[in-house]
Amino acid sequence: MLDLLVGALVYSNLLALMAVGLSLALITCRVSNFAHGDFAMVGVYVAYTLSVVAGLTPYAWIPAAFAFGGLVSLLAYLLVFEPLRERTDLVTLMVVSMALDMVLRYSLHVYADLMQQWLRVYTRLFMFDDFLVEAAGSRLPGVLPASTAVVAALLASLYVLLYKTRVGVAMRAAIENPGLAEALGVSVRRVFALSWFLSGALAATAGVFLPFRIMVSPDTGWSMLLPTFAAVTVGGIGSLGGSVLGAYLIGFSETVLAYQLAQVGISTAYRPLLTFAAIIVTLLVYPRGLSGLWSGKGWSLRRRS
Amino acid sequence: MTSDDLLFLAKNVSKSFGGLVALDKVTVAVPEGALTLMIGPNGSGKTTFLQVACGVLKPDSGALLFAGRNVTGLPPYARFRLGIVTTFQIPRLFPSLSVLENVLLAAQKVRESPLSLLSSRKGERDLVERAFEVLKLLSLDRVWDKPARALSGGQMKLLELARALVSEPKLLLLDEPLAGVNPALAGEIMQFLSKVRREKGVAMLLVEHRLDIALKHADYVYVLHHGRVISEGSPEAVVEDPLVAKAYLGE
Repeated sequence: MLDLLVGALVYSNLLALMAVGLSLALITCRVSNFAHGDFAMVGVYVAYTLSVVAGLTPYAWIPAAFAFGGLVSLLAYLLVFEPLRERTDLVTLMVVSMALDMVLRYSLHVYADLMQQWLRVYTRLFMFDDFLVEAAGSRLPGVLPASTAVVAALLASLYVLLYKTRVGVAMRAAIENPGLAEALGVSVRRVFALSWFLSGALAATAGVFLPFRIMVSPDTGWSMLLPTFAAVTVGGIGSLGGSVLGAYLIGFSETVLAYQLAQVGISTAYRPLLTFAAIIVTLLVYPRGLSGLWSGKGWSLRRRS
Repeated sequence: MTSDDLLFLAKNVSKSFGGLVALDKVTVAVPEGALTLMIGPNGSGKTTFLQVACGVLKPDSGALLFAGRNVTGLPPYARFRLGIVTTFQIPRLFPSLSVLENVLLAAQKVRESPLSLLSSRKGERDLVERAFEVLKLLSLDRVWDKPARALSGGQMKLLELARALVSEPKLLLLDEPLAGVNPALAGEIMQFLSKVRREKGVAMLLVEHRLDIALKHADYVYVLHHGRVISEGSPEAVVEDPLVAKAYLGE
């Protein structure tokens, strides 16, 4: 039972970082970014490579993964999505992001092969060694406190950035009404570039925690997309606070319900079914999602035009 | 008027929409520190002229000069950075941003870059103080932390004005700042505008219907009718002009 809760919490922490990052891409350029999972895998391979080459636990390389994942995402914005901004429709943007996903995913496959030859380590289906912490008479995996602390710190910093700094005011203004913000001298391109950097950086950070729980390959990012989109949808599309809530809701219900299914003899292979059901039910019953409940108040950014 | 003290000049500006001629060779000059009023019946082209002046619309022909520089091809944000700041008939605000944030947005002359996060806290405090001064002048300081969407219509107009002022404009283009505002507040806004002009030397081009309130503050008046300037001069001269009465009252 404890294992189940630990698993659910770690998984939800990951989803929270992924979902907030995905939302940032959605509210700036209206891209349902199918390449978002690949940013997470960039983080995995950065941390893996550095920990093999330079030693130290992968946890120590989170800042490097953050920076490199952010950089890849920033380039995706500058080279692909910025030139298309305000020029095309949502479906085109989505298809473009799928193409970008393939480019990134197969680049990661190439990199995994090169890395295997270069460093003589397994670069597919590998896991990271975790440490254990003693707490309340039981031994917990270190990824639980580590991911919880990192998620709390990053979300708090993001909040401060958005609500307590000048850049944050400019970002929120540009998200709400890019045309008007531009007319008032805000460089929408620069603040969106910052949003995209953060989007990829958060995903890459989430990625570093992934191999502590499951075996990963370059394709793992793709399979993270479904629960991430579910978290964003259930939380309310376009709301960062909603994405966080949605991540914990999806993370816990997916883990616990899959466990219940296993108890009655149904394969956990049906797990994605639960996630899809969450998306469908939300869109049918209350498409505004959780953030619709407090719409407009609090940590809710969305474009109003 | 010599060309030295001319801040803004629109020369022979024409603009048509399909077959409709909205502006026909309109020439308007705004000297440094002057309050220039533009009046005319509905549909005479006043708002079109302002949109051309602020860069939302491109003129078909003619030229716009600002401080001796040709700005005809510049987009709105580039004109904003030069000091041409516009307020709109229906206030354009960021509804979910707070009153203070709406104003601060225009106060940042420093360009936002990730590096400006590291800039001095003092610079930030100065900005906030400056923003508060302007809010106080327009009695918006008590609602500084409310989201802009919670304001009344009149307050929204004031907030847009506050945002325009805090950016330290050289030329304010005001599209009917008194429309939809009660007479007492309209009087106050006009008083306030002429005070800003006196004290800070901000030139203004004011498009307004409420002649009773606006006329006595103006230095110079242009009258537009069917996209043409049919009369111009001092407020007294324009009011006496029989062409103007005819345009307003019909034949």
